[in-house]
Amino acid sequence: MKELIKLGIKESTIKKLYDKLPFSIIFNIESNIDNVIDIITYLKNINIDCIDEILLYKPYIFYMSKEKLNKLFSEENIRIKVTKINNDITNLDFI
Amino acid sequence: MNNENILYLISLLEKQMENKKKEAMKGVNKNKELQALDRMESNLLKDVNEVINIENEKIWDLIKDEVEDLDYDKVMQSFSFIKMLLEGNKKNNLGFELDDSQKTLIELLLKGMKTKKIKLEEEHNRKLEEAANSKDKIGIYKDSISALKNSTKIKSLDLIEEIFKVNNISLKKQNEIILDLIRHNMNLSTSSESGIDSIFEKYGYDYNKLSADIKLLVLENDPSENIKAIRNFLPTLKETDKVFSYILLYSEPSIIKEISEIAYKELIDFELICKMFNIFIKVNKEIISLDSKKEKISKVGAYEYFKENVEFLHKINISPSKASKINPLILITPTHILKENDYIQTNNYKINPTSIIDKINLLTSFESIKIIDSYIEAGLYNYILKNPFLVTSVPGKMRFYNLKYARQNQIPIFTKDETGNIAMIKGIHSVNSFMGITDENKEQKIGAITIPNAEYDEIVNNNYDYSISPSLSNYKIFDYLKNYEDFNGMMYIFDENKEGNPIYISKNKVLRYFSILINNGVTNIEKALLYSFTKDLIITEKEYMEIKSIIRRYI
Repeated sequence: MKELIKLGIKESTIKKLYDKLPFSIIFNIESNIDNVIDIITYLKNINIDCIDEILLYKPYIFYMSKEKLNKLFSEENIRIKVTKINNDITNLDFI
Repeated sequence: MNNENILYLISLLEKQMENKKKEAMKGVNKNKELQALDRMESNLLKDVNEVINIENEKIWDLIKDEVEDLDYDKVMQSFSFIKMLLEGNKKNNLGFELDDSQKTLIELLLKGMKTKKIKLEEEHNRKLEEAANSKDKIGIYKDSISALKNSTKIKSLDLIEEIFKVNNISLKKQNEIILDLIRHNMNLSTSSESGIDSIFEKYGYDYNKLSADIKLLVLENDPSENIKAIRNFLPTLKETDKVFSYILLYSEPSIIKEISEIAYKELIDFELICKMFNIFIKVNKEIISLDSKKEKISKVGAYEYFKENVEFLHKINISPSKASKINPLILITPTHILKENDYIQTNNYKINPTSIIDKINLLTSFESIKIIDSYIEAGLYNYILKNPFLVTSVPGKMRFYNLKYARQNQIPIFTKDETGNIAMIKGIHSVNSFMGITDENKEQKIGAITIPNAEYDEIVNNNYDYSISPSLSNYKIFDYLKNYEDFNGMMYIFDENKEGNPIYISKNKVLRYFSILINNGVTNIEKALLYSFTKDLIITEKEYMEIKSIIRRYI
């Protein structure tokens, strides 16, 4: 997961991730790390500022392809969606 | 069997084994007694006066076994006399000479020294031999050399990697050796196959596309049956995919078949199955990570979870296919988490997600019971009932510190959002900016205390049974506490001082933890109750004392 620190994810988040998530999921995230990096880069580019929290509480997002995520965000006003998610990450479930 | 590469590897192993032997022997210290005896003997040979410096007991110890039936007193007397003569000579230059019998005794002492030295040298050599042949340090080399020489299967692959590293073997040569090692092992295990590369070829894969690391691991895990199963049931996987390697190395043909059949029958997206590939590995299978760390890891598989989760989803009338599209993690989440989250929806907490998205995300969320308890204890149970999706996420515990601060300071927490709906005010979810509360100062801002109650954590954290024990009806305190329950029985409300800022405590939390503790043999009822009431509660010292006093009053 060291790659994620280079992307600005806090070390404490990585530690929490290991403490909180089951081994089966941690292992899967590690094994799909390239996709995780792609998604984080995409979210950062559209100004999502709660990526640490998304990693901890919405890890399923990292199994989407960048293309699918792009499509979801571009269907409506992207700025409103980003603001809503930055206010409360639960809104990510409804994009 | 032993071609040039294998012979070369044997020579590297032998060289490394000799180095390890030397290293191990260096660790055996020269016997101090032997060194002292050496010095003593050398000094005595140079100058007979040296006997003065040798204690009588030491002398006796050295000579007692040299002649049968030696008389201790007589010998000691004689040596005392010799020492006296020699000291007289030394101090007063008297010129006394030792007689023959005295000289014989000195010779006997020298002989005793020699005998003792031989014994000590033998012991030292034995220790060196033991170190040089230590099973811990050397056994692995011996076994590997023997396997290569005697045509048996070589198993110590870490060792081969070490040999390559120590001897700085080029990547090309490493690949050649590995290929021959694979042939060595394969020829021993599958008489019908001529080599691993030809097995790959037989099923349409190119063995040479695997990395050297994977080739090395193939040595330990005869993959011929798995290759066949991958070709038959997962035909779109390529040998260059990481998922191909994991399934090849750590799955089983019957599992590959079973998972593929379930996915086909349930219409679960094949691409997703490949992303969640640890469903092809049993939960307790020990594997070596194929990332750069190459650590041995276990409990990373999800085969049993996948099977049980598909079954469980059917039981609660949810299509596994639909659920996996909403949240793929539902396929590899430990089943007890799904059950715990279902418990929240169907039992005591009465959380009723209205949309399938909420329902699925709630099923796969982590620590959701604790999140609901925290919302209840923030006085927001009704809000959660209307917004059940909030249970699926919580930015750490900060949200609850912010809520506690808002309540303490009568700060309104609800407002209308951009769409006109009632929502919590901006910042209440914040980790670092609400009213100057930060992770560092949160306790100080609220006046919260750290409750000294971690002693039962291990019991409750390892217990997934959330049913309330029927034996709780034996504890009168719960009858008394009915006076403190809110209207729908979800929480206890304590407001002894009538200051308008009551303490809310999740009733289910108290009953659940107390049941676990009682069922696990905890006998200190007061402590168990205090733990159950205050676990994960953000609380001031005054509030803590109030709860303590109520428990004491009714226990």
